[in-house]
Formats: sequence, C-alpha cells, structure tokens
Amino acid sequence: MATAEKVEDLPKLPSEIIRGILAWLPVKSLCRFRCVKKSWNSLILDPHFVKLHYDKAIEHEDVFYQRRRVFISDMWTLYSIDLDECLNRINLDDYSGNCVLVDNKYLQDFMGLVIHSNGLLFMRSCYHEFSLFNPAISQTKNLPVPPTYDTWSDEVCGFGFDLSTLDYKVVHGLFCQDELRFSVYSLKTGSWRVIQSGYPYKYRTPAMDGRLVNGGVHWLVRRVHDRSSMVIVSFVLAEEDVREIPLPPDFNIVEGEDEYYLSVFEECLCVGKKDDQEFWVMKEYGVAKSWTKISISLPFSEGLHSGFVKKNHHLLLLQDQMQQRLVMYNFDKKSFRNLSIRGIREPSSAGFYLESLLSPNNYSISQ
Amino acid sequence: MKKISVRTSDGQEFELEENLAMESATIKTSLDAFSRDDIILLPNVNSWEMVKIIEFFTKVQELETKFGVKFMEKKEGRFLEAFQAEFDKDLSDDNLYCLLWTVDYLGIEVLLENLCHLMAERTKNKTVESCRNLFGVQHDYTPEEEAEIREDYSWAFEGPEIEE
Repeated sequence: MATAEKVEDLPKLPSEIIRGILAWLPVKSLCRFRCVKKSWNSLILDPHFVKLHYDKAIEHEDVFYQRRRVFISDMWTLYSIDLDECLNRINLDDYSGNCVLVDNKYLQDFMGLVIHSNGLLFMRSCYHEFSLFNPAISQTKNLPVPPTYDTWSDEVCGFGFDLSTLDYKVVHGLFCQDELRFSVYSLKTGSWRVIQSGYPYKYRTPAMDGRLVNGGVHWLVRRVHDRSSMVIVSFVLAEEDVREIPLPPDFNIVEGEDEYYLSVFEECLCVGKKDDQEFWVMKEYGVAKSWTKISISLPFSEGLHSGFVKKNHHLLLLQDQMQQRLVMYNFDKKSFRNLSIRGIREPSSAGFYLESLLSPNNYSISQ
Repeated sequence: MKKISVRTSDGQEFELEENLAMESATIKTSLDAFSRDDIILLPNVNSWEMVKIIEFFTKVQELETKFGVKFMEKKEGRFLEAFQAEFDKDLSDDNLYCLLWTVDYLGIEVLLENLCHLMAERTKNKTVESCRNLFGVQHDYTPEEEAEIREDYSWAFEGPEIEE
C-alpha cells in the first residue's frame, strides 16, 4: 500500500523509542538481542531499563500472563512450567478430558525451600546454603550464612521485595531461649544485619518459610507467655520490626502447632487446620472481622496455594495423607482438574514467578 | 468543531479536528506559534502515514463512544487486540518503522505506545541479523565478543519460535 523509503535512508529511531519497543519483549528475545549492537547491550543491562521492563508486566495483564511461570520442586529438582501457555490452548471447564498434562523445564538440582518476590527466587537448601536465583537468565548469587544461624535451633526464614527502599531482603529468625531473634540481609548492601530486639515467641507450625503479604513476612507461632495461644507474626520489611496479626475469632487452637498451617490465598493471609475441608482467609489485611471461611470439596490434610490463578481456577498443591498432588480448583463451581507435569511424580512445593532481567549479582550497583 | 489543515510532504492536504490535531505535540507547537487558519506544513510526513494516523483517531473515537472510556485522556495506550491486528495488517515491517518514526516526530504519545507494542510483536521472534536489518543498525561487535554472548546465552538462540 505505501511506498516507504528504504530504512537506511531514514534517520534512526531515537533511543527512547528503542527502549519503548524493547520493554515489551520477552526476556529470551532481549538476551538474544544483546548481540545486535553494543548500545542495545548497554540499554538492556541498564537498571532503569530492567525496572521499566519488569513494570510492563505489572501494568499490562497480557504481558503478565506471557511472563508468568510456575516453579515446582519434587524434592531433588526445581523445574519451571509455562502453565499460562498450556492453559491458553485448552478448555479448563471441559471435565470430560483427562488431567491436564504439561511439559517441564529443568532449572536446577535443588533440595529445600523456594520463595519468589519481584522476579527473583530466594532459595534455602537442606545443606543450609542461601542464594538468590533468577531463573529467566540463570543467574545465581550465593549469600553468606546469617549471623543468627545455629544448627541446633529451630529457625524461620522469609524473603521479599521492599518497595520503600527498592531493596530485596532476606529475613532469618532463630528461636533461642524463649526468644525469636532476627537478622536481615539486604541485596543492596550485600550483608546481614542483626535486629537487636528479641520477640517472645517459641514454636512455629511446620513450614519454615514465611508468607509474603502486604510488605511483611508472616509465620504462625506460639507465644512464650501464653502457652495456649498462637498468633500470626509479621516481620515488616520496611520497618524491620515485628507486628502481630490476630487469628480468626472462632479459630480454636486445641492441638499442637504441627496441626495448623499458614498460607496465602489470592494475596491474602490464610490459615487452616489439617484435615479440615475448609480454611480461613483474611480478606482485609489486619482486620480480624474480615476473616472469612472458605470450603473446598476435595479431601486434603494441608493445602498450599501456589498463587497462580487463571480463568477462575486456582493452582493448589494438596497433601492428602502421604500423597501430594497439583490441582486446578474452581472455588465458585467447586470443580477441579488434576494437573500432571511430565517427569514430576511427587511435587513438594509450587509457586509462581515473573520472568525478569534482574541480575542478583549486579543489583547493588543499581538504583 | 474547528478544523485544522495540514499538508504532507507530497502536497496532499488533510483536515483534522482541532482537539485531535492537538494530540500531536509538534502540531500543537505550530498552532500556538501561528494562526489556526494557516495550513500547517509537515514536510516529514507522508500522505499514507497521515491516512493511518487519521484512521487511528477515528477508531479511538469509535471505541470511546462505544465503551465510554477516554482513551486519550487516560493515556490508555492499549486497544482491543482486534483493532491492533487490523491496523497493522497491511503494513510491512519497513512501513511500520517509518510510521513509528513519523508518529514520534509528531509527538502523538498514545499512538506511539501502540506502535511500540506492534513493533515489539514483529521483532520478538527475529534472529539477531533480521533484527539488525529491521532497525537499520550496523553491528559493532568483534566476532569474539559476539561469540561470547552467544555462548553464555545459547538457550536464547534456540527454539521453534525463532523465525529464519
């Protein structure tokens, strides 16, 4: 239709336009295009561009779905799956089909816990190694052992991106002599800092990893001075201080702490007792009255919500006696599809992350 | 509604409604400096580009009326995918490049965001060489430097989606 001049005859597109175009691209394309030209390479590695690129996924739903990946571990290995892409091709509501089958992508050999925040994964292995990992560009930063570390005592750990300082923080806590003491690692400074105050908590539910909600890392613990009461504690990333969050008013703690669990449901705190067919969700953060009961019509003893939701289906990791399985559950219709991942027989944890260019090894130089 | 007249590089004249013409920062500057009755000369703009720009404005108005959302005011760049697919269907890669350059020159922010997205869709599965052709850039790496990146990120160069 149009007779355009030759591109070589036109003045070049200004760099702000190039940035504007590149910000929409997937991580894989950008890694390849680092070869195009040296100025493109500098652009792609520039921390301001990395943030611009990441924010596109937050601002535009279709980009969010394109860049979202689910990570699954099966005790020995960490994998990622492009569940969005798979679900785009099938009809989740068609229950006549068998379980949904997805291919996996190997990330690394790993045994331990994994927590995602803002494009990076925090990993704490069973061998007590702490690291930050960006699965999209395969970059790892090994972290020093926390000063609060002690092989003999119970610990907690957590991870989150602190918006107030634009810093990634790892939180480590140790239960020691009737106190919970914390230290915090900042990716910007590259070092741990011990928090002077001790907090009066003694035991926790089986999950060591804290739940990131509303800028705080949460665990379900038992108070020292009142042996019968449990409470949710939040380590607030911005203030690096602790606050308590009340449990549901009629949530009776009658069993040992091993019987309860704390999870996240649709970005809200959620608590439950094992083997109940229901759990509580705190719809409004910090507001005790907002705890709402939700039931689930599948047998399970303990549930973990991966955080992945698509077309009203929630990806859940359910433990039923000794078996763990992945399920896409529709809470409105109370229907579900089983999810099976090629090569993974027993998933032990599941979550999601967004593909990003964030380099854990270069973060301290940026922003 | 006041109409503004513009003349493109090949001598064709177009009429735009004033409020739409003002979406172009370049045209707005001209209007502020001169009388609104004068024809604005746009020697850097082709007539086919002006046709596409007017097509865009027309579609925006249609969608705003239909959905009651002020796309322009909110700088809501992203339209229904169907419109985007139609809009660039008859544009070659080179056409899109030229249009992008022109819209940047005219300073029409909302359309620029859309065109960047369309350009990104065209670019994402290209090889390094075809990307260089598309943007008219000369490569400035030594063979060793380029080989190093290709080796470090070999996974980024493989895949069924990458166009030949």
